[in-house]
Amino acid sequence: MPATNDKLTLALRSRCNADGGFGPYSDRSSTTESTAWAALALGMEGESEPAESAIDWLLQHQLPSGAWPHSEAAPEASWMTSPALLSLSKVPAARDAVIRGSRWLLSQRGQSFPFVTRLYYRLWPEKVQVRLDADLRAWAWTAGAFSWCEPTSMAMLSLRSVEQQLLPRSMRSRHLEGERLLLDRMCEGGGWNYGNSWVLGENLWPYPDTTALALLALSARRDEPRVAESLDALTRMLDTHESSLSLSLGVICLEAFAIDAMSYRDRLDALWNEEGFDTTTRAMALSLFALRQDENPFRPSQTND
Amino acid sequence: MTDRRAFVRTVAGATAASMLPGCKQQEPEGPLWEASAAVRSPRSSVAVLSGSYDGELEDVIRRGIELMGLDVRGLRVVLKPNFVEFDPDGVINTHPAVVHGTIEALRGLGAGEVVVAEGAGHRRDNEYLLRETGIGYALRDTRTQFIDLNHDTVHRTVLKGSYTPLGSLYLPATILGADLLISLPKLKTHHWAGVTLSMKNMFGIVPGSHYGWPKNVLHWAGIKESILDINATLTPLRRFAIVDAIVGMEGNGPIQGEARTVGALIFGADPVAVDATGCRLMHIDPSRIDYVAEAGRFLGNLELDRIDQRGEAIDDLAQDFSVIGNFASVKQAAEVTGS
Repeated sequence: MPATNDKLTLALRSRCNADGGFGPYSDRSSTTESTAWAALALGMEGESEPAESAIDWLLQHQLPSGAWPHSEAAPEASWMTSPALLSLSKVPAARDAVIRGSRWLLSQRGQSFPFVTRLYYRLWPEKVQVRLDADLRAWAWTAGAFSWCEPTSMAMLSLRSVEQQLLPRSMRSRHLEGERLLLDRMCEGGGWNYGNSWVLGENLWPYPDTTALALLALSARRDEPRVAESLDALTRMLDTHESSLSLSLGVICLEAFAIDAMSYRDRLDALWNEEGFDTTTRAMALSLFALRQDENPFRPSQTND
Repeated sequence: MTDRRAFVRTVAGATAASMLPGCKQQEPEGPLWEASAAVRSPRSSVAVLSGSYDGELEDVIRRGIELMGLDVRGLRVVLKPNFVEFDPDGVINTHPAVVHGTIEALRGLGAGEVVVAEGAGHRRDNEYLLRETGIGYALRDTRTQFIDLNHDTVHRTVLKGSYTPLGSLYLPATILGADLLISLPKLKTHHWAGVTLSMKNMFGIVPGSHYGWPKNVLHWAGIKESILDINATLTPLRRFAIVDAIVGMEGNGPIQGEARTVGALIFGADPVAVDATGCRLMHIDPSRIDYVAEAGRFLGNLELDRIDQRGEAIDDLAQDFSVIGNFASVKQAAEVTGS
């Protein structure tokens, strides 16, 4: 596996743009998400020069509100604040940026239905088109939209990575509401997709990548039966999913729950050594973590343990 | 045809208790599209040709393109299939044989460059989708580049419609820079929109890295309204559509419906005429699909007597697709097409 890591590190380094940031694919403009993941993975691999350039890119692109934009082409505050925080929470010199970013993220809440619709959901749950607790609000992809699983999981994980004494007391209640939302959106039989488990009378199926992220966000709830059920669902999904994103997040998640993931790591290694399909910088970075045993980019900082 | 006021009333009523808050509740004054987006011509042409996945699709597709008089020589062509999700037991996505056959046909006809581009709406894991849908192998076999529209370079683009309150959207440079954009959808019913064909397929160009998975901002702005705004905005582009109606999806589409064989491909440059023909192949009245009907007011032709039908007769191929209860009223009696 070291050989695969070397190869992957080289490939990841090659995605560094002239501005120091990283794009989601080769020859794509730098985005906050790709740069954040590249900084984390290259830092872990000891590639200090590109990692530092990525961190500089992140620090230079933080908005006055504390949020991070998608990219220079799309300068509005975005959900990519979560991966930026996750990355910079490991950088002592970025402490002020992390505090401002965390406060912005805590100020964000997904939109809810209008009151009349929420009332309808409460009074006639058997008649609704989408089965969910319409009162729960966690994190959305974009301002003014509904709460979904991945932005909620990523917000919870990134806020958890920040030293907790730096965060306001509202962190606790937001985290709890995020947990409730994730548990509410779980698919029948365990696991998560983007965030709809049941639509128009039909169950929808879970995905391994979103399941792994949700489980990592729920890792403090190990005794929750739905977490155990979803861990089983994750291993079933990983048995049939051949993709670097799913396998890498799956390995990181299973090991965070102290479950042996060696067979999935071996498959991930094999995947990177065959003719595969082009994949994102994020998937490359997560693969670097997954290929090294017990490396977890989502692990809370030491002071939170 | 549905008039504008009826369209607004229908949409506002149908979405009151659904996932689509934010639809227009007031009757607007004047057209909801820019003058430059009013591209409906006096007549349109559509071809329907028989085909099967294990047949010589390249030849069929080449014939369809030639029947429509589409000259692709030297053009940079962007193919936009639909692979929103994957279910091993389902027929959700454009079949890889259609993607493969279209690439080969275009190259045979002298296209300068052909790329395939999609921004999957539910899953972020494109690598998985390319592998499992088989489309990745079609691209590898034809040595064709894939562009992940969820992560493409974008330009903020002012919308040429005001059905939604969005005003503008970030849209991918790959799409905006195409010489020819070919929508390559699957023929499916859709549980929120009624049908999903060449116009609804354009949801996939909206980048997930900006708007999320699902592209929820479009749902809040109104699915039907967003279809109209996006398609109005694409009017400066040269467009074409090839619908995979070899095996379609009926019932609870676009994800959980059942397979229904039609055995056809639909070709045309007018997205409204193509979608109206797709509806008729499903025994669905296009004038009762509100966004198709509304698009028929400015984007293209909906009515049979304004469409020159080539190839096979619709009535010879049409199948009685089932729809979910909300859309029972869109069904049309068999053999009304007069084709």
